[in-house]
Amino acid sequence: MTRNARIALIVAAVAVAGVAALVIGSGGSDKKKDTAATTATTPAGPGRTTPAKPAPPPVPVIRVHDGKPVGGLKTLEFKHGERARFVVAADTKQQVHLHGYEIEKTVPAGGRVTFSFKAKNEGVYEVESHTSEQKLAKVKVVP
Amino acid sequence: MRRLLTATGAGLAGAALAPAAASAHGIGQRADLPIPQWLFGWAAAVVLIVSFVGLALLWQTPRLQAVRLRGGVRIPAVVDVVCGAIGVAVFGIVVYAGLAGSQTATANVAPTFVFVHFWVGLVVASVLLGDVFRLFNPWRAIARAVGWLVGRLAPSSTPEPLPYPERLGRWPAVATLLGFGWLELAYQSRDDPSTLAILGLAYALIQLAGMSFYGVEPWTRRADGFGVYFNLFSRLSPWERRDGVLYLRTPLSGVTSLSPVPGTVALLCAIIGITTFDGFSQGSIWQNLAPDVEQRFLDIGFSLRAAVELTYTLGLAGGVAFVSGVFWLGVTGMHTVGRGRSTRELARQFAHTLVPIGFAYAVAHYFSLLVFQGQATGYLISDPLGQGSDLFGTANTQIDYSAISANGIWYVQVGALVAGHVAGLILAHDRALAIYDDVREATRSQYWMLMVMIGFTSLGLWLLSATNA
Repeated sequence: MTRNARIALIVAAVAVAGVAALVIGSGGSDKKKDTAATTATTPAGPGRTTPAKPAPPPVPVIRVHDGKPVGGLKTLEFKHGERARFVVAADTKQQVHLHGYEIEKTVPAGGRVTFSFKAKNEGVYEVESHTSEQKLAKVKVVP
Repeated sequence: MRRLLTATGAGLAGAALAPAAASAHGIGQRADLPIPQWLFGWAAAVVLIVSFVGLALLWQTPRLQAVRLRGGVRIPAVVDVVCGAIGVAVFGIVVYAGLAGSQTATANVAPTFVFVHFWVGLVVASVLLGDVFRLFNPWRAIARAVGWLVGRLAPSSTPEPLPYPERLGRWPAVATLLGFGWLELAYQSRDDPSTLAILGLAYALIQLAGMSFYGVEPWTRRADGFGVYFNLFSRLSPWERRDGVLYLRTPLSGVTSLSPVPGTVALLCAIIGITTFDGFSQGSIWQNLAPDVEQRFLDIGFSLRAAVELTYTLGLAGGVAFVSGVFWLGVTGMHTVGRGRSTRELARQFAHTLVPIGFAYAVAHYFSLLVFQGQATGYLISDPLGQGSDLFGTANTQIDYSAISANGIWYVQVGALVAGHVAGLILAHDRALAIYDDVREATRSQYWMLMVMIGFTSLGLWLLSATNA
């Protein structure tokens, strides 16, 4: 490889670094604006909680019909370190297990039970019924 | 944890089938968060930067093609005997636990041992310490013990082993690894302890039969899928054992001596393809697609279980085909540079450059499983059967899911992919210098391999960013 070719490649590498710094820098701030916008406009739905300070977000409810989650498998998102809460409401008796946090509660037929825990473990964990052997939801704890 | 497992044991055992319930990786209760956008962007930029700088600055004469050994410590034969015996004992305990113990996947030692200690732990151990599986390989130990005994008792009655068919190459290993990948990702009884025990026994019997026909060494080197798999990664390690002496070698030089026998390219594509689908299956594209495909199979009369398994089998085949396609594309491109080398020959000459990529993918996808589910060793070693024993007083230990933060996992994952990319690039560069007549041609051929490497590394990063997104 000639000396010029080597220099050209190094210049290309520097150019990539420069472009990356620019794109990621601006992309990052865009993203922050985006999330800020969504936090402000969309109310926290049943499948998602947003860490909005002013009003505490409504506690998400997983409705279980015939041992299966109504509306499919939803992901409940919590921030690391916050108190995470969700409710399981079932029409039949279900033994519900939150993996990873190792919390297990029995939901009586037609009843509802609140899971409340400190979100200390990051990652994605399944909420599973050991009665119907179905996944009910995913708990996602982000940094 | 223990109490919980026993409490839920009855419920789990009673369920015949939990459709697509088991998490990926065969076992484990936790999945990774997607890598954040900024990290994805930076990693991709770093990959491009090191690629360009590498092309500009790398050496101009091959340096890794011959293995140079330094030092040398003799390892006495008794070490082989003891390690072999330990291997046989561990295999025996795991099979026994699988058959006789609790059939709750997380309470029995067998599933965690197979999917975490064996499938993932040994890969990492091989890269750090060399070919440890060879030392502990239970079927190899049994075969060697039997061979030694027969040689002692009736020296005249030992027949010469058949010559191992050259055309067979590493294809039996390819079949084994695809089979294991299918077990891990498609089979619905993947974490059923007794099933795993029976499969383990069956595999050992096949290996013993193979070794008795073709000889212990030829069979272990080519056809014992796990022997081949772990040996492949041990080639990345700086350790080499030759004739009972342990040497230090230049890092990466061990991979260049990988003999390009038939099935080698397929082996690497299968390894990377399995991990690719493992990652892909946790992303939203597959999560949205799979139910539709399953429904198609249900519509034409398959059971739910068969529909799920067929769908995941298709996905796995797709992963392997995609990876093979990317590699062949690069090789076909290289074929246009210079003359007189068939694509087949080039593919075999450059297959070894995929070994570090395979390792990087394994670390990226299994690191957290090793860190978290690996902690289950604590209680499983005291209660391997999951029946309430407490052999070492650790039966009540738990997995600490806060042992490493999401950030820590991301850095390891991305770091592994970037390091694998650099290693693959170096290996390809060095091989090109060795087989092309002049440096200019070698460099031109490497633009193609560079694209293959960037393709695999970007795919790896994308898989990490799409998992559970």
